[in-house]
Amino acid sequence: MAETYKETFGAKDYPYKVLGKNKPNITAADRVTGKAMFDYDYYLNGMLFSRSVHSPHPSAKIISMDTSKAEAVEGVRLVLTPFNYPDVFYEPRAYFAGHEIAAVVADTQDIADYACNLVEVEYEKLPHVLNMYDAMKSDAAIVWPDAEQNLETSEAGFFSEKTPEGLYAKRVNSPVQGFGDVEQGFKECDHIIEVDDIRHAMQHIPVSKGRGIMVDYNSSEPSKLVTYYTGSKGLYADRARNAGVLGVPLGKSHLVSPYASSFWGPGHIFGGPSFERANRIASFASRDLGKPVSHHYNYHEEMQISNYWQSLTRVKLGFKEGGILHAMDMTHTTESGKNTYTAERNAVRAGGMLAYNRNIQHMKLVTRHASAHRLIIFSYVGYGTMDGVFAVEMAMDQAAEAMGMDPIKLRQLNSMKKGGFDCAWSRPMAYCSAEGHAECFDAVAASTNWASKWGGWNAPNTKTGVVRSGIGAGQKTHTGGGWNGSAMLCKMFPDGTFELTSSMGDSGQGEPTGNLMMAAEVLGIPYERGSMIRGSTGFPYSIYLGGSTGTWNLGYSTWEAAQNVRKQVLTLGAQLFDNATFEDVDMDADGVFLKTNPTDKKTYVQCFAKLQTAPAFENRGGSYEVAGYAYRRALKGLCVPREKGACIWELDVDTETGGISNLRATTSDNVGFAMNPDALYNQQSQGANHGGPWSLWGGAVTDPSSGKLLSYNWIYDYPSTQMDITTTCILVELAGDESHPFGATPASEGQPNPHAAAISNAIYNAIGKRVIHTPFTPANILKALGKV
Amino acid sequence: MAEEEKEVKKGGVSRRDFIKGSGIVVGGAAIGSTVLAVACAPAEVEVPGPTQVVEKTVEIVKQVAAPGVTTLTVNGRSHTLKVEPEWTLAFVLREKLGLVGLKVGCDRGECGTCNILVDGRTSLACTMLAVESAGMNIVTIEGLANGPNLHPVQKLFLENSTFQCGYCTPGMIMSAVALLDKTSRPTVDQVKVALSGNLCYCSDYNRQVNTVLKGV
Ligand code: FES
Ligand code: FES
Repeated sequence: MAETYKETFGAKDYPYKVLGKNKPNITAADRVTGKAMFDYDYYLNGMLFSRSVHSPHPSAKIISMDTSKAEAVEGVRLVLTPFNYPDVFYEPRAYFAGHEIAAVVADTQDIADYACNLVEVEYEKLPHVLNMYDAMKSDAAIVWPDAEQNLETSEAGFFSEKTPEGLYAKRVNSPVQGFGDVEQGFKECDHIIEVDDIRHAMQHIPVSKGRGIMVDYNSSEPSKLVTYYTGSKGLYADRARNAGVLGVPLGKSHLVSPYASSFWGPGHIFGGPSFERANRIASFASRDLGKPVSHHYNYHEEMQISNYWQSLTRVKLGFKEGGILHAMDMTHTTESGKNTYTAERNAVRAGGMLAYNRNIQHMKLVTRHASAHRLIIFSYVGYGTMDGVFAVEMAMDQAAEAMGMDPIKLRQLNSMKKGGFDCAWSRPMAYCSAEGHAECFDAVAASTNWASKWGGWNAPNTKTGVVRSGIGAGQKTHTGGGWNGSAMLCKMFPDGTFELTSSMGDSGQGEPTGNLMMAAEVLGIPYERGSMIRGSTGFPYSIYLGGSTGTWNLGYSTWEAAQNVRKQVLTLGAQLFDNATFEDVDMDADGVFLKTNPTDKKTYVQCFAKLQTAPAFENRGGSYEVAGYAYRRALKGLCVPREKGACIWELDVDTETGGISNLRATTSDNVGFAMNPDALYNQQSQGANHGGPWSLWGGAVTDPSSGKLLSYNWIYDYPSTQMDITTTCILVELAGDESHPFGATPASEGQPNPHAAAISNAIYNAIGKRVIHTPFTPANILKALGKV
Repeated sequence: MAEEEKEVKKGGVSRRDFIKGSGIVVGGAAIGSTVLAVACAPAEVEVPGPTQVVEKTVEIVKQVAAPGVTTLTVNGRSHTLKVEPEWTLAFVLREKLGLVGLKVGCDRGECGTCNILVDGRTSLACTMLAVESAGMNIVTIEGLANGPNLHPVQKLFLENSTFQCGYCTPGMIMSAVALLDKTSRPTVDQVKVALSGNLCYCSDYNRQVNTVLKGV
């Protein structure tokens, strides 16, 4: 049976009362009772529903549209087309099969769906290209009207002029990223390995979550012009994006998103555009009809959003004697299309710059994207990073083989180091504030008994029989953990309860729980007495947050806000003791007491009464609060901890059928301090259960002539129904980010990143054949074995 | 060179067409999934037989032919309301009765997100017509807790944080309730069969299976 085992390495005896213990998710009660409100769950009086008309052609001009039949349907309120709403559709043009080219707003979703089918469209079909490989050919149809070719190099920066401390202090604009002199660097190397044509394709799990947006123009919200209801993890940024559509002042708009379903990036919880027109359609329609308009994706659109994207990578690595990685040259090309952004940068940043920054002196990374007539939506989690990690890990394994080294030892020698160069999300220079890959590899190696199971590079040649077992490793690195600030408001009340307030959205990874735990720890009050208000731009600012990254990032502000409250409460309490200052007293669940005499305790009601000067009110402290607000800005020196971990996969390959079975994942992360261990195990396990199967599945079936999605069915979707992977999750508690109040570091978003690489390396260990193209389907395994 | 062609857009089959096509389509889908469930169910797990499903289909067709005011018994309360023949139970429960704890994922019987209990049996509210459920005992996620006291299965999911985003959770809890009502200490295979109709996008099936295995 599939199971999850949990282990912790290096845990210390922390002096905390709340932190370090497993706490159920603070939002659990809402989630298990159905009270959790997702954007699809809001119904407003008089609300209307819109649906889109889609192009069946991958590339076409829209010559004309006849909307009269649709408009004649009872209940239809408005039909938006590129001709009457150019600000919604930009141009009468389809860039992929399924592109939204018109929309119908009606009294019900069913009427809108029905009327969409009555919109008659005259198309001029244009030449098209349906994948990145064809798009790079010289005779390919050009996707973008203003482009000369489909392949473009992303603008980046070359980092030069090291400071005496070894930091890259200056950035010059360049089509490549990196530093040093790569050509010279390779000349200085003893071993060079180059792996080309590494292909990664990633298919999301297409489970619909009713995503979209409802726009309420003339909002019923007092003093607001527009209210947006959506599923977001970055409410302020999404409000700005949405408000920009109609030019609504930020102060007159409002965004609500208490719960977000977990379709990262694509499902717009990271502000990603998905079907980008949802907010434009709903905004214009709501403004012009004077009613709330809900535009949520239908089944077909969700399937299309989930469809795969692919990438092509070449990696060249140069090593000094002993396996010291000295030079790296990587070219990464991502399939692009409608709505693509930044993923190719993330791929090289995590896989290239960050993962192996310990010894490297010369680096050149080129990122390109090749446009095709496809809708490309990046990421559920990982956000493009897993493409790069996969490619670099393929090359590292082959390098280890070429040098006759244990592949884990080679990774440990070169992995991310504290103070090492980090690329960050969008700014060029940052430095890692924590490390731990080496220890994470030790943990997974010990847990799996790697030393005896791996068997050396000759092991595949010694394996016989139809079914052969293999074991392989991969490094987990992720660029998560931005440094922009977030704000937190902390309040405490005279009955000894407390409350945090933040705009923070939530997709269930545990960040509200983690922040509440931190505040409880600072205040010395039981966690159960805390609550959190969040999910609206009516509350203090927070950046796009997720999981432990959110806990880490927002934790600075939570800590500071709670400290602020603590100091105020202690100051109030000290007034009740003779000649005491806040430094002489402490607080716990019941009240404030003298450090020298803890039994002499003043209740919080007594302390809070000191907020009033009029003696008559002294016993009525119950009506007051103490509040602290904090906003953490960028960290000094731009130090970011990043995610770091390791994994090992074990599996059996059937050499006759090409099937893979008996999958076991062992996964570890340096989490610094595991503030809520169970939440972290949850992230690790889901990462293995998604990242692994993603690489095993064949993906959706599309019509080869148009790219139209054909496999409209979720039941046979392997990743979404896997129940047969045994997972061992290991939390490694080493020094985390020293700047964090509790030494935490992020460990969630990058969880799926290394699994495809480890599975490929395990396949090699089983059958002696490298499979460097995902997915690892039976057909691809048999091809590698030369059997088809 | 651009190829000129006049073409009238033809849409795919919408939910409206799908449901409008009559109860036969619904019955067909039910038969398909019944066969699937029988194929993978261990002997001790009870699943409806094809005969029951066909009888149900006939009943649906009769009800569709006579629409009007319908009385639905939901979470122990009786609601009399006008129901159009093509309205799904999910639509009525969410949009007419405001029970939005019932989530909708695929809206076509594939994901189990809309799972509810109808006469104690798990049912997909998105592929069931509201008119066919008149007189039956309908329980949604909102009907499990007894005031502030959570149902034992809700408690199990709460204490084990058995979700990530939680969108699939109400439907999954209903599957677990149906199973644990029958057997408080299920086997692994029973749990897997019981949850096999519930797709989860973002959490961890191991955790879900292990949580339900703890029993009530
Ligand atoms: S929403 Fe009913 S089964 Fe998916
Ligand atoms: S918890 Fe998110 S879909 Fe299951």
